Amino acid sequence: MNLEQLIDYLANDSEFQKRLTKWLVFDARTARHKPFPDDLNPNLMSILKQKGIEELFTHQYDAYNAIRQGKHVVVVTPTASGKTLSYNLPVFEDMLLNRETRALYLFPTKALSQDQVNETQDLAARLDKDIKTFTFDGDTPVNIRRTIRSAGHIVVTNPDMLHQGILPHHTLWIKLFENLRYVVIDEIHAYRGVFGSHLSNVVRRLKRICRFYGSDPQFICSSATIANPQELVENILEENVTLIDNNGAPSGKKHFLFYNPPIVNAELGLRRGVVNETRQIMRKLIPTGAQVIIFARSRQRVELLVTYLRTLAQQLKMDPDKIQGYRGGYLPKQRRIIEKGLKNSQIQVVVSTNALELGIDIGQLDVSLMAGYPGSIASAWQQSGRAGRRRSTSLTILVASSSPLDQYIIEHPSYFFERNPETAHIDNNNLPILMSHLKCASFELPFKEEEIFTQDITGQLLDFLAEERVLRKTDGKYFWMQDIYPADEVSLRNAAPENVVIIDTHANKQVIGEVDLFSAPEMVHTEAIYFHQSIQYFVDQLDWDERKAYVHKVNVDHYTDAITKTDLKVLDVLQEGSETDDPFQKFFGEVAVSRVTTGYKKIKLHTHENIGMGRVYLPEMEIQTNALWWEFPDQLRSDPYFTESIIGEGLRGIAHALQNLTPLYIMCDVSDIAVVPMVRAPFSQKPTIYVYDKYQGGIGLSKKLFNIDKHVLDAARNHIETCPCGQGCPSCTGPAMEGGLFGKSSAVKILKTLKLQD
Amino acid sequence: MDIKDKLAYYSAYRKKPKNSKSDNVYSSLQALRDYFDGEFSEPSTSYLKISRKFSLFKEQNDSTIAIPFLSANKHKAAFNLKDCIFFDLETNGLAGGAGTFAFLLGFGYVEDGDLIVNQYFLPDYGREYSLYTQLLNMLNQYHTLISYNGKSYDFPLFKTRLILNHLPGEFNSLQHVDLLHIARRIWKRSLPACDLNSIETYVLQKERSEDIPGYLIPQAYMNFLQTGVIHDIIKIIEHNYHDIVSLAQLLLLFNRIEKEPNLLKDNQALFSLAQLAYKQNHQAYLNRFITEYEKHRDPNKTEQMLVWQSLLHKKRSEWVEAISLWENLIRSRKFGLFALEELAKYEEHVVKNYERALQLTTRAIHNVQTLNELHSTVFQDDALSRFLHRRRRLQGKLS
Ligand SMILES: [Zn+2]
Repeated sequence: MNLEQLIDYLANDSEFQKRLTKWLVFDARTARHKPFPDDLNPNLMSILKQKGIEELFTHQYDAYNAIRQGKHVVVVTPTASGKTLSYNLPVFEDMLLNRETRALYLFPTKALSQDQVNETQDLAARLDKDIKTFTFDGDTPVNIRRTIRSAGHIVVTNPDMLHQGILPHHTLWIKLFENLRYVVIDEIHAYRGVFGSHLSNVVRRLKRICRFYGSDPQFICSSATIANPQELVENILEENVTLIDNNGAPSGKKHFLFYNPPIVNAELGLRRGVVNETRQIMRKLIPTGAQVIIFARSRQRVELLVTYLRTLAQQLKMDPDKIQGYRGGYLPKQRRIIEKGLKNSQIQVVVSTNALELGIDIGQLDVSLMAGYPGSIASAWQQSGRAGRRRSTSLTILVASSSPLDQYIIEHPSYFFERNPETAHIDNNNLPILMSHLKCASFELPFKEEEIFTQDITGQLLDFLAEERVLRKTDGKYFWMQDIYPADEVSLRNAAPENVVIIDTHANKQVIGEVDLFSAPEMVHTEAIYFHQSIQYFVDQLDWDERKAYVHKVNVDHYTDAITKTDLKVLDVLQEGSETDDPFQKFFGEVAVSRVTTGYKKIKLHTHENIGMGRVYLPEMEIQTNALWWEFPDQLRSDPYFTESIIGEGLRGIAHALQNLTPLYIMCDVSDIAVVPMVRAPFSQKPTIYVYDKYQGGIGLSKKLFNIDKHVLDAARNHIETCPCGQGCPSCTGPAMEGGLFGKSSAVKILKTLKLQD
Repeated sequence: MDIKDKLAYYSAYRKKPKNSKSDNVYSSLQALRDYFDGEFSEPSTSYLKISRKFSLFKEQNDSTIAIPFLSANKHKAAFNLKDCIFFDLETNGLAGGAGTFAFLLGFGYVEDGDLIVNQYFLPDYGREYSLYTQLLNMLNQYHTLISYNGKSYDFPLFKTRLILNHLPGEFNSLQHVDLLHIARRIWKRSLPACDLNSIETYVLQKERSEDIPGYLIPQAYMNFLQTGVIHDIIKIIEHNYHDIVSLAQLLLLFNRIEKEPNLLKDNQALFSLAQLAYKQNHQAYLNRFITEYEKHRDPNKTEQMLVWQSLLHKKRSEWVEAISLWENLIRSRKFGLFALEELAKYEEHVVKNYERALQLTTRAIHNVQTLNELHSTVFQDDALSRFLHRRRRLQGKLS
């Protein structure tokens, strides 16, 4: 059966059809070409022809020209569109003329860089030129590091290594920094929130070191399709950037299916599990011989699916080895074997985490199946892009879970044929992050008094560090004076420097996860039931000083609900944004949030009876961060329907929906923000909902939400209203029993009073 | 909130260092100068120079240093002591990287049997440029740099400081002898660590009184910057001075050990040198060690040396000598199998006497099996499979 036949078959399978909320078809796009640029080196031109490339795609052509004109660029293209050539071409062009030219390629993950090295090495070999590409990361053997430093023309690394291994030792890398002409940042949309704010500061440090050595590199970035690539890159680089988004790569016809598993418990809004549903779908797909890539959201799910599908393969009398897993934690050699197996069709099904979402070369497969929404539309497109050989038809199936965001997406597939609303944000002046990097920068080179690292406040910050005796100010310069290596104390990927590690004591003390320090008291306090991958764990002990929670698996009929007192204090109102005829007011400002967990309730599953309580003794946590808040109209109270408790239920319902829908507009994890409803806010006494960034100093999320709040509130209203449940469910306003019986109706009513639509 | 309030909040989250008053550092610096009878650089007081003399020779005068063997052939040619510059840095941190700063730079050279030690103390950051330009000129007059762990620590740091001051960081004409590498070759089996402190105590039999431990040095300098208290700086300057003296003494000691290894009273050290001789194909040295061991030291250790020696003979196809060594080793508990294997290889590949080779192999297999029965827990499976493989091959050749 070929793919077209498979698609026909699915279209006629009524059981399958029943589950689909939408069947989108995207027509094939033909390639748009431009001839090779006139100034392209003839050698390069001839090896491109050797590789079967006779013309450039429009975006490659435009990128080439903009880069040759000395502009910083961001190239926005879908998967498999020849993006790497967009930056390799101008880089090689320059290197053929200037033997000393150096380039630095940054990739967000290690696995990605391997492919890049292969590709540039292939180009160099075909050109028969001594252009050396090396990977420099934690695995690079010490004995070749010296060679890389002095002889690597293209150094491929990741931001973490640049931050900890290269910049603090810049004197060993003189050759690179003196001759650095290009910095390539691949997959730049991956750098958002905390990670992106760190990256932006690493870029500040990099530019500073380059200035010291007299170089001034050009930045070439690539991004998946998001709503604001140019803004994101300009914020990260603090430079004007040219946007190249006229993708000229061809694509085949694409079928995009939105699959919603059947409801198993209407009251709880629970649907059949994604893993089981995926198995059912694969039962139809495997016999067709189609090559399938399945994306699962966690490593554990990958393993679970592989096990299930291998059993299924045996039942279908086929070789179970044709099913393979692929995820972080596999050895590089193992990965290479799987990549090869996919390319030569030895492997029929690969189950992967998002490790394969990015540019690793596995060729193109027939079907991409997402077992759960990957968390962002950009990711979903990248995963979908794994299916579909150029010019041929492909199939993507998105299987939704019961989570609110999944349910929202599955009910609103229009996001996939309209403009992607997701925006990525950073805040490179977040104080804790900025200070960390200011220290690293001071270690690398003493600051001069008038030097600027960040606008306006550099001097104040340096003076502060001098007062703290981190720096010594003398003769108009600030010198590093501590006996530590500051880069070691900063991790680019962690929101909070300190996380609580969760350790399963019954499974060889295996670490099963982490919780940020701020959330730890309510999630993993001693005697809590902690859910991880839908498995219940009992917390034997939370060792606060050691930042460790010791847990073991249990199977009990209850869960725990922490009794947490949240105190939110507005420190400063920075912006008031309501329009005159808005019946509500919105604010943006700085808040201090303190939370203390004093105990917990034991709640019986299904019936939600309260079956016991306990006390815990944990310190109060406080963060200072940015928040957006809405004060709802007083008229609410004049409506007899809205008793105090019904307002409460409604606000909690709205909060639940907002918490889960926000990532659709502002790329972040559900856990990056917190939404706090208050029936009577301390000062105004008005019903209020606060949304704050769950990170010390704020990271730009609530600030962005402030600007688009009406969209998001209206999306929440729409979602709650159209949810098929009766009185609220986990997909909209939260479980009905928990939220109260009026959560859903109250939430809709409140939102309707806001007159969100013009 | 303005940035001041934010910073106050930010700082409340981290440990505050003790507040201390920074008083007149210049007067402390004068005290330091007077204490050591040093001199300030002219025209600006960017550093303090201290010059001291140590009498290195009593009678003999080793003016030529030859350490090809001990340096594992890294320094094949002999060099003149006059052309050596000893050096050691004290820094504000041990982490390495561009933020590490050397505040005390000690250099030593030999003149008429005396070691002249020049130390340069930087009383603050940002004053390196004039010192480093002078040091560059000074270094040009020497051609051998002597350090202890300088290859991986002091010298890269020195170069980093040059680069940070926009001075050239390449030294093509200077050879660098890192005494740590030699000390490790000799005493790695004798000492838990080969840091200069251990070597001083164990080898040079020196005890330092009132020494400041290395890990306290960075903090001491920072205290000086803040308070001007010179007590610990005096200790650091002494410490650095003694380090340089020890460097010179060690170099001379190595020069003597090269000529007369049996000077080493330490059996482990001598054994390590025997291994070095083997690795360098140095038969004459190896013979000396064997004789010394058989006569005066630990005859049990001799077997290992005989193995090395047999392998050197093998490399040179000196079969008669090699065979006689192997035949003697057959009865050794530790090297019996090795000897049988080597003999079998010889019979099979060199003289192609497959019968003899098979006999030796069978004997070896028998021995392994007996050993395995005696100590069922032990190791010989690898050897056994090798011998079995060899037996199969030989049987094939014979049939
Ligand atoms: Zn619902």
